[in-house]
Amino acid sequence: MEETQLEFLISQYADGTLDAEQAAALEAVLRADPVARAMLAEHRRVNVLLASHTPVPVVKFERLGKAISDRIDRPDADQTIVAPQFAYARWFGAAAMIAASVVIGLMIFRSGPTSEPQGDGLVVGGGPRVIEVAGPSVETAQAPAVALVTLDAPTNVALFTSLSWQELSPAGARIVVSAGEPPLAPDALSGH
Amino acid sequence: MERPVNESAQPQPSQPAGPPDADRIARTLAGDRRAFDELIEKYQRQAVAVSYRLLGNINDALEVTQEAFLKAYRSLASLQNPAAFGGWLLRIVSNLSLNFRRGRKLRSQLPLDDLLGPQNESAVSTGWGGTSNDPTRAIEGRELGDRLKQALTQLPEKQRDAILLFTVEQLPQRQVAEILDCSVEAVKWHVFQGRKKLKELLKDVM
Repeated sequence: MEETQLEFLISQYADGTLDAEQAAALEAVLRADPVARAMLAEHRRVNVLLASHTPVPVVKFERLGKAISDRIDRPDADQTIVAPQFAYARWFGAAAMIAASVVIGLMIFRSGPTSEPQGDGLVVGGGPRVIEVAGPSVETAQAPAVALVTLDAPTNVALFTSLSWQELSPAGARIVVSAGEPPLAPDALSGH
Repeated sequence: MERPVNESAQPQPSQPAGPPDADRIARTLAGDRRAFDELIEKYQRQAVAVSYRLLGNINDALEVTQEAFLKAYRSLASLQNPAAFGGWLLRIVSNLSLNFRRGRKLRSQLPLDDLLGPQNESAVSTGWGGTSNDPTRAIEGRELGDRLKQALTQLPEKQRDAILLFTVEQLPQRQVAEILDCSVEAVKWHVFQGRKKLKELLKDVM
């Protein structure tokens, strides 16, 4: 028997996946061949090494289970447990998409496709959860297929959703519209 | 493209006995959310482990695991064989993990240098060093673990996945074959070739 073929059988024997007939035939070989026995011992040693030295990092499964359950109960909530840097990246990416959508939306508003805005709007800054828009106000307006901006008067907080945003968090995001009043703190905007 | 989810494979959950999965699924579909919580509790460890083996990063694995359970919950009514829930769930976990891995490769060409992930303190004390209180043995165990980690990164992807899922996670070969989109015979061959290469790479410590 070719050596590779023999070792392949020995590998399967070490894994316990040979059928009874094949196993019996190989055991006869093993009894007679010390080289074959050495091969079997090596495969078993690697298996032991793999089993004993490849731990999964400890996870707080009670917390994980609750997070999953909460997300099922509140699909709008963003309960994903991720490392802070990933969480920040996610919010940053979402904010970037919102900012882009706002700019596109305002460009469409200016061209007057569906409604007349009452004032100019321009994205001037933003954090992970807050996009500030300068200008006196942004009227309730709709730009089909781009964005939906709804001003929640008299708080000057606009509820903003976009298709891109909804993919990340169906809860949407709130945009602070600067209108002579200080913007709300991010914490006040993050509640669901 | 995500491969179709096959329900045939059975997992090997090391969980206490309880109501059969089919019963839990029927209760879930009838509106009993606690029944699905029982399924989460039963399978979350294995789901995280399988995802971690495929992704090599525990944060990514936790994120994928959550998505997998959400997807399973939303698709529960389409499950034809409720008794095969575990295998079906792990197939979802695997598909999402592999998709995540492909996306990660597109985003970054960095090697998977954290194949087995940075171990947190608990894992270091109970995993790499075993339960021994002997610091010398603990260090030796950690060094051996590092060597093994390095050796695994040198294996071709299919060989590494086959070894981690079959030998380490002890998933049935048929299930590993479905995850890796190959035949059972190919899984046996990948495990054999991967282990043979590991023997060579680790011969000075074996």
